[in-house]
Amino acid sequence: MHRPAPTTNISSRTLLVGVREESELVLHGLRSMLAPHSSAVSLVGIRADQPAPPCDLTLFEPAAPHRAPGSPLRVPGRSVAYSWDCSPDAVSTAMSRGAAGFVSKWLPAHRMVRDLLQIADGRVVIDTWTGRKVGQGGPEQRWPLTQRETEVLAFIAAGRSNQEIVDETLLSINSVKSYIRSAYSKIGVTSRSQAVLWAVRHGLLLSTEADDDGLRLVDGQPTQRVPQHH
Amino acid sequence: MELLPQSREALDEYLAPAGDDLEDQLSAIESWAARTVPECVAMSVTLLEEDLTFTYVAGGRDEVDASPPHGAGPPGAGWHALDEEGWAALARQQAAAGIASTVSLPVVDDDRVVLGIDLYACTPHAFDDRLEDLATSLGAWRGGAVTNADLAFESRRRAEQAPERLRERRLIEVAVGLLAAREGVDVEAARTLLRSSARQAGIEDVQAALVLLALSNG
Repeated sequence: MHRPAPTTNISSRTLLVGVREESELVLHGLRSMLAPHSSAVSLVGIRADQPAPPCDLTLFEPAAPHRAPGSPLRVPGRSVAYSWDCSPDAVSTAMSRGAAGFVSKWLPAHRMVRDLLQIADGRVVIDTWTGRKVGQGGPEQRWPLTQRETEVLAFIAAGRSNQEIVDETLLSINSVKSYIRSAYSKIGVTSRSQAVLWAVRHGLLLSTEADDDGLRLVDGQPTQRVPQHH
Repeated sequence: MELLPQSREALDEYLAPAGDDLEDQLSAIESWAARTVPECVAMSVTLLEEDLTFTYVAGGRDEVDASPPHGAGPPGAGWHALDEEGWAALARQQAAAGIASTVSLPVVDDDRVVLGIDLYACTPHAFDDRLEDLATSLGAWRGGAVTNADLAFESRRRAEQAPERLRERRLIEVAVGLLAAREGVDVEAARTLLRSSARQAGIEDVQAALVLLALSNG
């Protein structure tokens, strides 16, 4: 199910990414790191006490000490959480506050550029890669759903009907219902709205505007892709 | 009897909260009704809390539909409003084609009516002397049974609306989930927010949901 990174509309020009209220160390480090990709991504620092320039995306650190917990995000463009803390709680908190994506500060440059381009293209990307091998995070870090359950839940969150999921996956209607029930049971929800909420908080949201690449889930696990056909 | 296509579609979309297989339960009721009342030509089961109706009709009986026969209309001169025979005749006149008698049986659980079972027969007295057995076998409340209350086969119309009803609920549920995520609240708070927003805008919940989904996709 792995595919090469898609060619995005925005990749034809330089992506302007704001970096909100970060230390000089991080800002300069990030600039140096992304310098080889300057034709794809350009960084600009954003300070709270200065007017923000128009940006395609804004990186912010959810755990920044000067940020009030739960405070709404007011940033130019789509906001992207950018943090050392890639725990499920950190991801779900950032996503529930309206982040369009979550990227780890541990990411290598090429992977960060790819993620940012995809987020700018309208996809929800959660990339919590930390360089540790799968399993080092302990059992609580494991993704609770099977690949099929993940796929079906992503379609549920995208608003698809059971029959549409059948059409997309070529599963039987009974199998689809069975995967829905088992997914609901594993994540502890009893309704579609709760399932959608869980899916969004865990980065399982298919953009209905996306082309053929769908959502990419990276949660300290091998990358999974949920196919999307229109 | 066979499921209406719309009931088939609705069953495919319906996910029972308790995980029970509704289709198996419907099938069991239908088999039993067809065996017990051979004149039975249609059956509807309504989940009252969810306001969803599923209907079976006898295979090949195209005449069993919800359209009154041609010429049905109000009683003529000389008819008195308190004439029960006149009302009965009017009901028969306006009955759905192919249906001559009906019985509606409520199923009660924990002092609440949770299920409505409607049986339809092609003869006028198909359910006479069978109500007790029917109620007992179906676990229905005998005291709440009503005969000939749905000669017009209105339950079929409700069954035909079930897929659209489920589609609207799905859209609302997805919108509520997205709203909860966006606002950082639980789904009940998000549902309340969606409803109040719809009321303020003077639109239906599903219309508000569609707006929210369009904005989310934008």
